[in-house]
Amino acid sequence: MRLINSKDHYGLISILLHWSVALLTIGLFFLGIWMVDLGYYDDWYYQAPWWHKGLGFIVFLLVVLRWIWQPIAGKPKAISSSPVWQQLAAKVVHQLMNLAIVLLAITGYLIVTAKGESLGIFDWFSIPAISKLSVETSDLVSKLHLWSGYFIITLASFHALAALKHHFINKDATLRRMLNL
Amino acid sequence: MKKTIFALAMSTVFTLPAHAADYVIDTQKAHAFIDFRIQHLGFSWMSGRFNDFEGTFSYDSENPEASKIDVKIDVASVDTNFAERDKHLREQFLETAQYPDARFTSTSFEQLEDGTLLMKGDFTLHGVTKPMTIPVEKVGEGDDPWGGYRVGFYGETSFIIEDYDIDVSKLGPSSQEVFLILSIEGIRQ
Repeated sequence: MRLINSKDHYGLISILLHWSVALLTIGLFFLGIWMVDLGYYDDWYYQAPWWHKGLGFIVFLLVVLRWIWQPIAGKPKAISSSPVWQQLAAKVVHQLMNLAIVLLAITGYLIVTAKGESLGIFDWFSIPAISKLSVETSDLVSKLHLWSGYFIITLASFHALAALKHHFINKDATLRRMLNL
Repeated sequence: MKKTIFALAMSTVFTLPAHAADYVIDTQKAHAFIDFRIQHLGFSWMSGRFNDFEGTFSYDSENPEASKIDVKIDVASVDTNFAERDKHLREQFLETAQYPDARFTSTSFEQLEDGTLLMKGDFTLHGVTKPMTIPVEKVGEGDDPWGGYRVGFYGETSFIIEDYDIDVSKLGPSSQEVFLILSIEGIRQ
Protein backbone atom coordinates (compact mmCIF):
# COMPACT_ATOMS: atom_id res chain seq x y z
CA MET A 1 0.00 0.00 0.00
CA ARG A 2 1.31 3.40 -0.98
CA LEU A 3 1.95 6.17 1.47
CA ILE A 4 1.46 9.00 -0.97
CA ASN A 5 -1.79 9.83 -2.74
CA SER A 6 -2.27 9.19 -6.45
CA LYS A 7 -4.73 10.60 -8.99
CA ASP A 8 -7.54 8.38 -7.82
CA HIS A 9 -6.33 6.89 -4.53
CA TYR A 10 -5.57 8.16 -1.06
CA GLY A 11 -2.34 6.88 0.45
CA LEU A 12 -2.07 5.40 3.93
CA ILE A 13 -0.89 8.62 5.58
CA SER A 14 -3.78 10.72 4.28
CA ILE A 15 -6.24 8.00 5.26
CA LEU A 16 -4.86 7.70 8.78
CA LEU A 17 -4.81 11.45 9.23
CA HIS A 18 -8.40 11.76 8.01
CA TRP A 19 -9.83 9.11 10.30
CA SER A 20 -7.81 9.99 13.37
CA VAL A 21 -8.92 13.63 13.13
CA ALA A 22 -12.51 12.51 12.50
CA LEU A 23 -12.71 10.09 15.43
CA LEU A 24 -10.86 12.33 17.86
CA THR A 25 -12.98 15.35 16.96
CA ILE A 26 -16.24 13.48 17.45
CA GLY A 27 -14.90 11.99 20.68
CA LEU A 28 -13.82 15.40 21.96
CA PHE A 29 -17.22 16.86 21.20
CA PHE A 30 -19.06 14.31 23.32
CA LEU A 31 -16.37 14.36 26.00
CA GLY A 32 -16.71 18.14 26.20
CA ILE A 33 -20.50 18.13 26.43
CA TRP A 34 -20.38 15.40 29.06
CA MET A 35 -17.59 16.73 31.24
CA VAL A 36 -19.04 20.20 31.93
CA ASP A 37 -21.96 18.63 33.80
CA LEU A 38 -19.93 16.20 35.90
CA GLY A 39 -20.53 16.35 39.64
CA TYR A 40 -17.73 17.46 41.89
CA TYR A 41 -17.36 14.04 43.45
CA ASP A 42 -17.22 12.26 40.08
CA ASP A 43 -14.01 10.31 39.40
CA TRP A 44 -13.80 11.99 36.01
CA TYR A 45 -14.18 15.55 37.32
CA TYR A 46 -10.50 16.37 36.81
CA GLN A 47 -9.65 13.42 34.54
CA ALA A 48 -12.06 14.34 31.73
CA PRO A 49 -10.77 17.91 31.17
CA TRP A 50 -7.22 16.54 31.37
CA TRP A 51 -7.95 14.23 28.42
CA HIS A 52 -9.97 16.89 26.61
CA LYS A 53 -7.04 19.33 26.68
CA GLY A 54 -4.41 16.76 25.70
CA LEU A 55 -6.43 15.19 22.90
CA GLY A 56 -7.54 18.63 21.69
CA PHE A 57 -3.90 19.57 21.28
CA ILE A 58 -3.22 16.31 19.38
CA VAL A 59 -6.08 17.00 16.96
CA PHE A 60 -4.77 20.48 16.33
CA LEU A 61 -1.32 19.01 15.56
CA LEU A 62 -2.84 16.42 13.23
CA VAL A 63 -4.72 19.14 11.33
CA VAL A 64 -1.53 21.14 10.92
CA LEU A 65 0.18 17.94 9.73
CA ARG A 66 -2.60 17.41 7.17
CA TRP A 67 -2.06 20.89 5.80
CA ILE A 68 1.64 20.22 5.44
CA TRP A 69 1.11 16.75 4.09
CA GLN A 70 -1.55 17.49 1.49
CA PRO A 71 0.60 19.50 -0.98
CA ILE A 72 3.40 16.93 -0.58
CA ALA A 73 1.17 13.90 -1.10
CA GLY A 74 -0.95 15.41 -3.85
CA LYS A 75 -4.70 15.26 -3.97
CA PRO A 76 -6.80 12.70 -5.84
CA LYS A 77 -9.06 14.21 -8.48
CA ALA A 78 -12.64 14.91 -7.53
CA ILE A 79 -15.08 12.24 -8.67
CA SER A 80 -15.92 13.64 -12.11
CA SER A 81 -19.48 12.33 -12.12
CA SER A 82 -20.42 14.78 -9.37
CA PRO A 83 -21.95 18.07 -10.46
CA VAL A 84 -19.73 21.12 -10.07
CA TRP A 85 -21.85 22.60 -7.27
CA GLN A 86 -21.39 19.44 -5.22
CA GLN A 87 -17.64 19.47 -5.72
CA LEU A 88 -17.65 23.11 -4.62
CA ALA A 89 -19.91 22.40 -1.64
CA ALA A 90 -17.62 19.57 -0.57
CA LYS A 91 -14.60 21.90 -0.68
CA VAL A 92 -16.40 24.59 1.30
CA VAL A 93 -17.41 22.06 3.96
CA HIS A 94 -13.84 20.71 4.19
CA GLN A 95 -12.39 24.17 4.68
CA LEU A 96 -15.09 25.17 7.20
CA MET A 97 -14.31 22.04 9.23
CA ASN A 98 -10.62 22.99 9.23
CA LEU A 99 -11.57 26.50 10.30
CA ALA A 100 -13.76 25.13 13.10
CA ILE A 101 -10.92 22.97 14.42
CA VAL A 102 -8.56 25.93 14.46
CA LEU A 103 -11.23 28.00 16.24
CA LEU A 104 -11.79 25.20 18.74
CA ALA A 105 -8.07 24.97 19.44
CA ILE A 106 -7.63 28.73 19.88
CA THR A 107 -10.75 29.21 22.02
CA GLY A 108 -9.95 26.12 24.08
CA TYR A 109 -6.50 27.50 24.80
CA LEU A 110 -7.96 30.92 25.69
CA ILE A 111 -10.55 29.46 28.10
CA VAL A 112 -7.83 27.77 30.13
CA THR A 113 -5.32 30.62 30.00
CA ALA A 114 -7.85 33.45 30.58
CA LYS A 115 -6.31 34.43 33.90
CA GLY A 116 -2.71 33.71 33.08
CA GLU A 117 -2.60 30.00 33.95
CA SER A 118 -0.83 27.77 31.47
CA LEU A 119 -2.49 25.00 29.46
CA GLY A 120 -1.22 21.57 30.50
CA ILE A 121 -0.98 18.96 27.74
CA PHE A 122 -1.21 15.60 29.48
CA ASP A 123 1.67 15.66 31.91
CA TRP A 124 4.17 16.27 29.14
CA PHE A 125 4.43 20.03 29.01
CA SER A 126 2.35 23.16 29.30
CA ILE A 127 1.70 26.08 27.00
CA PRO A 128 1.96 29.44 28.76
CA ALA A 129 -0.71 32.12 28.56
CA ILE A 130 -0.11 35.01 26.17
CA SER A 131 -2.60 37.49 27.55
CA LYS A 132 -5.25 37.79 30.21
CA LEU A 133 -8.87 38.18 29.18
CA SER A 134 -11.66 40.23 30.67
CA VAL A 135 -14.63 38.31 32.04
CA GLU A 136 -16.76 39.42 29.07
CA THR A 137 -14.19 38.27 26.50
CA SER A 138 -13.64 35.04 28.35
CA ASP A 139 -17.38 34.29 28.39
CA LEU A 140 -17.61 35.10 24.68
CA VAL A 141 -14.66 32.82 23.97
CA SER A 142 -16.24 29.91 25.83
CA LYS A 143 -19.50 30.39 23.89
CA LEU A 144 -17.51 30.44 20.68
CA HIS A 145 -15.86 27.16 21.72
CA LEU A 146 -19.26 25.53 22.25
CA TRP A 147 -20.74 26.92 19.03
CA SER A 148 -17.69 25.82 17.01
CA GLY A 149 -18.22 22.35 18.45
CA TYR A 150 -21.85 22.23 17.31
CA PHE A 151 -20.81 23.75 13.99
CA ILE A 152 -18.18 21.12 13.21
CA ILE A 153 -20.46 18.25 14.22
CA THR A 154 -23.18 19.65 11.92
CA LEU A 155 -20.69 19.98 9.07
CA ALA A 156 -19.29 16.50 9.72
CA SER A 157 -22.81 15.07 9.61
CA PHE A 158 -23.39 16.61 6.17
CA HIS A 159 -19.96 15.39 5.13
CA ALA A 160 -20.72 11.84 6.30
CA LEU A 161 -24.22 11.80 4.78
CA ALA A 162 -22.76 13.00 1.47
CA ALA A 163 -20.15 10.22 1.59
CA LEU A 164 -22.84 7.60 2.28
CA LYS A 165 -24.98 8.99 -0.51
CA HIS A 166 -22.03 8.66 -2.90
CA HIS A 167 -21.44 5.13 -1.73
CA PHE A 168 -24.98 3.75 -1.72
CA ILE A 169 -26.82 5.88 -4.26
CA ASN A 170 -24.19 7.01 -6.76
CA LYS A 171 -22.18 3.84 -6.10
CA ASP A 172 -18.92 5.68 -6.79
CA ALA A 173 -15.48 5.46 -5.14
CA THR A 174 -15.78 8.50 -2.85
CA LEU A 175 -16.04 6.60 0.42
CA ARG A 176 -14.10 3.50 -0.68
CA ARG A 177 -10.99 5.43 -1.56
CA MET A 178 -10.90 6.99 1.90
CA LEU A 179 -11.16 3.49 3.38
CA ASN A 180 -8.51 2.07 1.07
CA LEU A 181 -10.98 -0.52 -0.20
CA MET B 1 -26.93 87.72 48.47
CA LYS B 2 -23.33 87.08 49.44
CA LYS B 3 -24.39 87.02 53.03
CA THR B 4 -27.04 84.43 52.34
CA ILE B 5 -24.58 82.13 50.59
CA PHE B 6 -22.10 82.60 53.41
CA ALA B 7 -24.76 81.85 55.99
CA LEU B 8 -25.90 78.84 54.02
CA ALA B 9 -22.34 77.57 53.69
CA MET B 10 -21.68 78.08 57.40
CA SER B 11 -24.90 76.38 58.38
CA THR B 12 -23.96 73.40 56.21
CA VAL B 13 -20.55 73.18 57.87
CA PHE B 14 -21.90 73.50 61.36
CA THR B 15 -24.86 71.20 60.95
CA LEU B 16 -22.77 68.44 59.32
CA PRO B 17 -21.93 66.44 62.44
CA ALA B 18 -25.57 66.29 63.40
CA HIS B 19 -26.61 64.73 60.07
CA ALA B 20 -25.49 61.49 58.59
CA ALA B 21 -22.90 62.11 55.91
CA ASP B 22 -22.98 60.42 52.56
CA TYR B 23 -20.10 58.18 51.59
CA VAL B 24 -19.06 56.48 48.38
CA ILE B 25 -17.39 53.12 48.81
CA ASP B 26 -13.81 53.43 47.65
CA THR B 27 -13.79 50.81 44.94
CA GLN B 28 -11.88 53.07 42.59
CA LYS B 29 -8.70 52.79 44.61
CA ALA B 30 -9.72 49.35 45.86
CA HIS B 31 -10.06 49.99 49.57
CA ALA B 32 -13.11 47.82 49.79
CA PHE B 33 -13.39 44.05 49.43
CA ILE B 34 -16.16 41.52 49.21
CA ASP B 35 -14.43 38.26 49.98
CA PHE B 36 -15.99 34.86 50.46
CA ARG B 37 -14.95 31.48 51.75
CA ILE B 38 -16.41 28.08 51.20
CA GLN B 39 -15.21 24.74 52.46
CA HIS B 40 -13.52 22.41 50.02
CA LEU B 41 -14.58 18.79 50.64
CA GLY B 42 -14.64 19.57 54.35
CA PHE B 43 -10.82 19.50 54.32
CA SER B 44 -9.89 23.13 53.77
CA TRP B 45 -11.10 26.61 52.83
CA MET B 46 -11.35 28.03 49.36
CA SER B 47 -11.49 31.78 49.16
CA GLY B 48 -12.47 34.19 46.46
CA ARG B 49 -13.86 37.64 45.96
CA PHE B 50 -16.00 39.83 43.75
CA ASN B 51 -13.73 42.27 41.97
CA ASP B 52 -16.37 44.70 40.72
CA PHE B 53 -19.01 46.35 42.86
CA GLU B 54 -20.12 49.82 43.77
CA GLY B 55 -22.07 51.35 46.55
CA THR B 56 -22.88 54.28 48.75
CA PHE B 57 -23.82 54.62 52.37
CA SER B 58 -24.68 57.27 54.86
CA TYR B 59 -23.30 57.13 58.36
CA ASP B 60 -23.11 59.29 61.43
CA SER B 61 -21.18 58.03 64.45
CA GLU B 62 -23.58 60.01 66.69
CA ASN B 63 -26.56 58.23 65.28
CA PRO B 64 -25.45 54.94 63.69
CA GLU B 65 -28.98 53.50 63.63
CA ALA B 66 -29.91 56.07 60.97
CA SER B 67 -27.33 54.59 58.60
CA LYS B 68 -28.19 53.40 55.12
CA ILE B 69 -26.28 51.36 52.59
CA ASP B 70 -26.78 50.17 49.05
CA VAL B 71 -24.22 47.96 47.31
CA LYS B 72 -24.44 46.47 43.84
CA ILE B 73 -22.14 43.61 42.89
CA ASP B 74 -21.20 42.55 39.37
CA VAL B 75 -21.47 38.81 39.98
CA ALA B 76 -19.50 37.90 36.86
CA SER B 77 -16.44 39.46 38.48
CA VAL B 78 -16.19 36.43 40.80
CA ASP B 79 -12.51 35.61 41.19
CA THR B 80 -11.08 32.50 42.82
CA ASN B 81 -7.69 32.76 41.17
CA PHE B 82 -8.41 29.97 38.67
CA ALA B 83 -9.92 30.75 35.24
CA GLU B 84 -11.62 27.39 34.74
CA ARG B 85 -13.28 27.44 38.16
CA ASP B 86 -14.44 31.05 37.71
CA LYS B 87 -15.99 30.13 34.36
CA HIS B 88 -17.67 27.16 36.01
CA LEU B 89 -19.01 29.37 38.82
CA ARG B 90 -20.36 31.93 36.33
CA GLU B 91 -21.98 29.40 34.03
CA GLN B 92 -23.16 26.54 36.22
CA PHE B 93 -23.81 28.12 39.61
CA LEU B 94 -24.24 31.89 39.58
CA GLU B 95 -25.65 31.96 36.02
CA THR B 96 -24.35 35.47 35.55
CA ALA B 97 -25.69 35.85 32.00
CA GLN B 98 -29.20 35.62 33.44
CA TYR B 99 -28.54 37.23 36.83
CA PRO B 100 -25.69 39.71 36.36
CA ASP B 101 -26.21 41.70 39.57
CA ALA B 102 -26.34 40.98 43.26
CA ARG B 103 -27.45 43.70 45.62
CA PHE B 104 -27.61 44.51 49.28
CA THR B 105 -29.95 47.27 50.40
CA SER B 106 -30.24 48.02 54.09
CA THR B 107 -33.61 48.27 55.79
CA SER B 108 -32.54 49.06 59.36
CA PHE B 109 -29.54 49.26 61.69
CA GLU B 110 -29.38 48.24 65.30
CA GLN B 111 -26.64 49.36 67.65
CA LEU B 112 -25.66 46.70 70.18
CA GLU B 113 -24.14 47.40 73.59
CA ASP B 114 -20.74 46.04 72.62
CA GLY B 115 -20.50 48.52 69.76
CA THR B 116 -21.43 46.09 67.02
CA LEU B 117 -23.81 47.48 64.49
CA LEU B 118 -26.37 44.99 63.19
CA MET B 119 -26.95 45.82 59.55
CA LYS B 120 -30.24 44.39 58.32
CA GLY B 121 -31.32 44.44 54.74
CA ASP B 122 -32.36 42.59 51.63
CA PHE B 123 -29.79 40.60 49.73
CA THR B 124 -30.49 39.68 46.13
CA LEU B 125 -28.47 36.94 44.47
CA HIS B 126 -29.30 34.69 41.52
CA GLY B 127 -32.64 36.48 41.16
CA VAL B 128 -33.69 35.65 44.74
CA THR B 129 -34.15 38.30 47.43
CA LYS B 130 -33.94 37.34 51.09
CA PRO B 131 -33.46 39.26 54.31
CA MET B 132 -29.89 39.19 55.62
CA THR B 133 -28.33 40.48 58.82
CA ILE B 134 -24.66 41.38 58.87
CA PRO B 135 -22.95 42.36 62.11
CA VAL B 136 -20.43 45.08 61.32
CA GLU B 137 -17.94 46.96 63.37
CA LYS B 138 -16.34 50.25 62.63
CA VAL B 139 -12.61 49.90 62.09
CA GLY B 140 -11.91 53.62 62.18
CA GLU B 141 -12.69 57.02 60.76
CA GLY B 142 -11.04 60.35 60.24
CA ASP B 143 -9.20 62.65 57.86
CA ASP B 144 -7.14 60.90 55.27
CA PRO B 145 -3.73 62.28 54.21
CA TRP B 146 -5.12 63.67 50.94
CA GLY B 147 -7.76 66.10 52.18
CA GLY B 148 -10.66 63.69 52.38
CA TYR B 149 -12.57 62.03 55.19
CA ARG B 150 -12.99 58.28 55.42
CA VAL B 151 -14.70 55.67 57.54
CA GLY B 152 -14.25 51.92 57.32
CA PHE B 153 -16.18 48.87 58.48
CA TYR B 154 -15.64 45.17 58.77
CA GLY B 155 -18.35 42.56 58.76
CA GLU B 156 -18.86 38.84 58.44
CA THR B 157 -21.91 36.77 57.71
CA SER B 158 -22.84 33.50 56.11
CA PHE B 159 -25.75 32.05 54.22
CA ILE B 160 -26.94 28.74 52.82
CA ILE B 161 -26.32 28.83 49.08
CA GLU B 162 -29.36 26.69 48.32
CA ASP B 163 -31.57 29.49 49.76
CA TYR B 164 -30.79 31.48 46.63
CA ASP B 165 -31.85 28.66 44.30
CA ILE B 166 -28.29 27.74 43.45
CA ASP B 167 -27.85 23.98 43.29
CA VAL B 168 -24.65 23.08 45.11
CA SER B 169 -25.78 19.60 46.14
CA LYS B 170 -23.01 18.06 44.03
CA LEU B 171 -20.35 19.99 45.96
CA GLY B 172 -20.82 17.85 49.04
CA PRO B 173 -22.25 18.46 52.52
CA SER B 174 -19.44 20.71 53.76
CA SER B 175 -19.83 23.17 50.93
CA GLN B 176 -23.43 24.23 51.35
CA GLU B 177 -22.73 27.40 53.25
CA VAL B 178 -20.72 30.38 52.08
CA PHE B 179 -19.07 32.89 54.42
CA LEU B 180 -18.89 36.52 53.39
CA ILE B 181 -16.15 38.79 54.64
CA LEU B 182 -16.77 42.45 54.00
CA SER B 183 -14.16 45.18 54.28
CA ILE B 184 -15.70 48.48 53.31
CA GLU B 185 -14.15 51.92 53.25
CA GLY B 186 -16.15 54.99 52.26
CA ILE B 187 -15.03 58.46 51.26
CA ARG B 188 -17.24 61.24 52.50
CA GLN B 189 -18.79 63.26 49.71
